[in-house]
This record gives sequence, C-alpha cells and structure tokens, in this order.
Amino acid sequence: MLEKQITEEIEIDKLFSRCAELKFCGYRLVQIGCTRTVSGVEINYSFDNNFQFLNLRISCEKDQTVPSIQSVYECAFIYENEIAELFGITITDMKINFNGLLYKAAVSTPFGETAAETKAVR
Amino acid sequence: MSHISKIILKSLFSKPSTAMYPIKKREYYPNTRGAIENDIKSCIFCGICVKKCPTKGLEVLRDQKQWSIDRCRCISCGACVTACPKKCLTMENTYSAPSTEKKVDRYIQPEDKVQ
Amino acid sequence: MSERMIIPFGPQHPVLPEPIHLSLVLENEKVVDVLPSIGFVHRGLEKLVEKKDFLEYTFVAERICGICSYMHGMGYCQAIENIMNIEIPGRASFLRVIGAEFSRIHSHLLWLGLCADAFGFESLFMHTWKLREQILDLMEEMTGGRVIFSSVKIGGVKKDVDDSLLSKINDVLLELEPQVKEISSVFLESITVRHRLEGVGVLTQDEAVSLGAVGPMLRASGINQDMRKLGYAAYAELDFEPIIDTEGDSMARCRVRIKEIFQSMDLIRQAVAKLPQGPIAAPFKGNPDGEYFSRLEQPRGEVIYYVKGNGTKFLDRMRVRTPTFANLPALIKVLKGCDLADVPILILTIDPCISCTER
Repeated sequence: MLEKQITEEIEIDKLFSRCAELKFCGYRLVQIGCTRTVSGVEINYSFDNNFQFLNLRISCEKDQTVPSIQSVYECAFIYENEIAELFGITITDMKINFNGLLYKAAVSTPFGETAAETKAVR
Repeated sequence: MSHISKIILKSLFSKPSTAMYPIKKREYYPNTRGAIENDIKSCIFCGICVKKCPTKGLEVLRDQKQWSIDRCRCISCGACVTACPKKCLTMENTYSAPSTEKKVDRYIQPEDKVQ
Repeated sequence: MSERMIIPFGPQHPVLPEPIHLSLVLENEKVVDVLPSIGFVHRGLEKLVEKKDFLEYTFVAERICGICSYMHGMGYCQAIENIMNIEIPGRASFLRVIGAEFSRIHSHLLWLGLCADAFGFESLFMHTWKLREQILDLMEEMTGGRVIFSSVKIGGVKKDVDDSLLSKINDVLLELEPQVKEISSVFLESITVRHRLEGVGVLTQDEAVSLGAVGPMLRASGINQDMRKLGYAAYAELDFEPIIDTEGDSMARCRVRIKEIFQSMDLIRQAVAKLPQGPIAAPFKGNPDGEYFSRLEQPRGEVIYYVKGNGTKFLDRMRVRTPTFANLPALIKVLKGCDLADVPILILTIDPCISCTER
C-alpha cells in the first residue's frame, strides 16, 4: 500500500460540522466525488493535510438534500455545482450557484438515474 | 528583443529542422507502434485476439478460415499481439496506408496450408 | 456608473486549443465577473468503465488527455494495483518515472510555446516547439507512440529500455539543456515577454489555498505542495525539492514551469543512473475488489483517480478529478479585475486541458 487512506462514513447532518473541524485542523479540500448506488448516490469528500488523506462519505437517497460546504471551503463551489447538475442532487445554501449553467448538456442531470434504474432499463 | 534574435540568427544559418517530406521519408523506430499484420499461414483462428481487442476491430470466421481487421478501428495498442498463442500476429513499425474510405483488410488462409 | 456588458469568450477562440466558454461581464475594459461553462467535449469516459473490463480500460484512461496520457494511464494502473495489492518491480517504477518526467518536459515546453503564441510572439512559439520535437522522438523510441504512449500496464510497463537507449537519453538531454536555457532566457529576460506577464493575474498565497489551486498555479503562489513527494512510483528514491515561487503572477507561473523542465531533466538523469535490473512487470490474477484514491502530480497539478471495484471484471466507478478542474476557481478569481486584453494569457497560465476536465 502506498499511503493510508481513511474513510469515515458520516450522517448528512454531521457533514458541515465535521468539515469545519477538518478546516480548523488544516486540511485542504482535494475533491468531491459522486458515485451512484442502488437507491441514490454516495458522495466522497476527500481532504488532505500534509499527505494525510482523509475521506468523508455520506450516502444520500435520491430525494434527500445535502448542505453546501462552501462557507467552509470556498473552492467547493465547482464540485457542488457539478454534482447538482450532473447527478441531480439538491444542495442547499450554495453561495455560488450556477443554476445549471456550468455544464452545457443536452439533457439535464445526465447521470441522474440510480444504478437500480439503469438495471431495470437493461 | 536581442535574446530571440540570437536564436533566430542561429536557426537562419543552420539546417532546417523540418524534413522535406515526400523526398525524405521519416524513419520509424523499431518500437513504433504501427499496423498489425497476420502471418495467416500459422493462424489457428482461435479468436483470442477478437476477445482482447478493446475497440472490437478484429473479426475471425473460423469456417471460412478468414481473419479480418478494420484498419480504422485499430488503435495499435498491441493487446492482440501479446495475447496471440501462435505468435502469428505482429506489429509493424510503419502505419497502414491512408485511404479515402473505411477499409477492412481480410486475410484468408490458403487451402494447401503449410503445417 | 459605467455600463456593463457581457462578452462571450469561446468555445472557439484562437487562443484556446480546446473548447471552454466563459461569459465575461465587463465594465468598460475591466472584467468584473466570469461565468464558465464546460461540456463541449464530454466523451463519457467515466461511464465507459461499466462496459469495458478493467484491463481494457487502461487504453481508455490514456485517452482522457493527449498531453499527459502517460500519467493518466499511470494513475489508473496505480489505483488498480493498490486495490489488488500488486507490487510493481523496481525497474518498472523507475521506467514510469522516466516516462512521466518526459511527459512533464514535453507538456511544459508545449505550454511555453502556447503562452508565447497567446501574446503574439510567433517565432518564440516555433522555437519552443522545435525543442519539444526531440522529446517526442525520444518518447517514440522508448514507448512506441508520440501522443498515446500506451506504455503503462497494470503491474508494470510494457516495453523495456536497453542500455543504448539509456545512453541516448542522456546524450539528448545534454544537448537539449543548453537549448532550453537559451529559450528560457527569452521568457525570463526579454522585455516583451515580461511586459505581458509581470504583475498580471496575481494570486496570493491565501487565495491559492482557499480556492484549492493545484500544481504550478499553487506553487507559484508560494505553497510547497508536490504530489511527487508522496513517493509513488520511484520518486521516494530520487532527490528533488518542489519548485516554488512567491510572486503569484503569470511570470511566476512561467518561472516555475521553466524550472520544472530542468528539474525533470535532473530527475530523468537520476532515474537512469539508478535504474535497477530485473523484470518490468509483475503477474497478477483476479479482479479488483475495493476502492482507492490514487494521487499523482501531473504537469498541470494533482490528479485524483477514484476507482471502485466490485470483484467482477467491470468496475463500479472510475472518477478522475483533473488539475484543470481544480484550477477553475482560481482562474475565475484571477480573471476578475483584469483587462479584457489579458484574458487569453490568464486562461493559458493555468495550462487548461479541457478534455481532461470533461472526461
């Protein structure tokens, strides 16, 4: 193994406070990534502090909303807008919100369907 | 401006860095990944190359003893060459000739097969 | 109160090799706000992972970008190797360093040329690209390709390098170094270039951190962060220090990249000298089951590969977070308040790679 990577699974309502803690400890936001699951998505928030990699994971059903972490990490706006536009997840209280204008796509939320729905179509 | 003029003057009095293409052809290196060729005489039509091809550019018809390659789909990755059990597939270091239409090269094994 | 207007910039613009659209809100000649929009070259490569098996996907990963294709393949393979616990042989990891550093040199030379082109210095652009050609030839001799190298595979590398090629690498580098020095003196000292780059698009240290900039963009603002220090491939055994600059303007970014060219040459020499004997690939079997975030330093900055396998030969998810995407917030920041005439050069200083960004 190259480096130790810790993944913490947390509840959606704890996300904001945990991010604030990490910011205080000097972590920087590396990326926010979204993965489809059977009934919704899981969102990975990756942080790094001097080559210590930490990953926060929330699972989110299709109809749930996720709080924005832009007030803690300013650069999160680009990832949050991407997730909102491609996966159709509602992110609340976004400071910078492109309202669907970041991606020029022919269909809205192209990755929106869950893994279960894709299977049903196949 | 003096910095670049020195370089420009130097280039002015040296050989051109481009090659006179049709007169002087570019030499390829032995490693250059070019067109895939098949030594059809030793091919056993097992179809492993077809399974390994990431772009689905190969086709094997076992009953007609035919192996064909779609030159426009081939990405010269070499997956088929590594997978070939008889080592009859080789990768040339020259590219396949340009053509105006999509070209499928068919290799048919002659009847009097040399074993 | 001056009048505001919106100028559309791109997706087709002489300075952009790839399509990105920016709506620039102008107040007279000053840019006051920027709205980026991407999605013109989306190819669905992340989705393709559900249809191609994980061995075939190596070829797809390399085609995410034409400039850092070596490192895209490397990042993907590294993620799979970590999931499957494959230990790659020493020789393979050193060969990967050589390939990756060659890509860095060629990418930075390409950027220097494009940068010269962006402020209209055509002859400098041509001369920079002339030097890049030697690196491309060397890459072709080493890996077989000039753009898509297709050299990295899961478990190691595909092609070995023999001693005659190693000595040729040293010879070419020896010949190339004074030529790059000559060209870089134009960038660093020529008044024409300095006039266009100095003091343009300043990104302070705090801004660079809070906006999550990566790569030369971040290091030019004085932050010491280089993913190569993680020690992936053989970087742990090589001696180097990340190059940083404190000014944070376009000139600083240019300086960082020029210095990185020489650093890469030094790293290649070290790797060639230390190259161990042995096999170039490790055998493996089975399918990946698990997940990993693989991180590497590309010419443009840190790239993240997230791979999630489920034990079958088709992966569940592959996500790439490319450096250009992470640098977009910083780009928006430096564009605010700049002159309209500086917009092309500012877009170029982040070294945009839009195909990477959109996968």
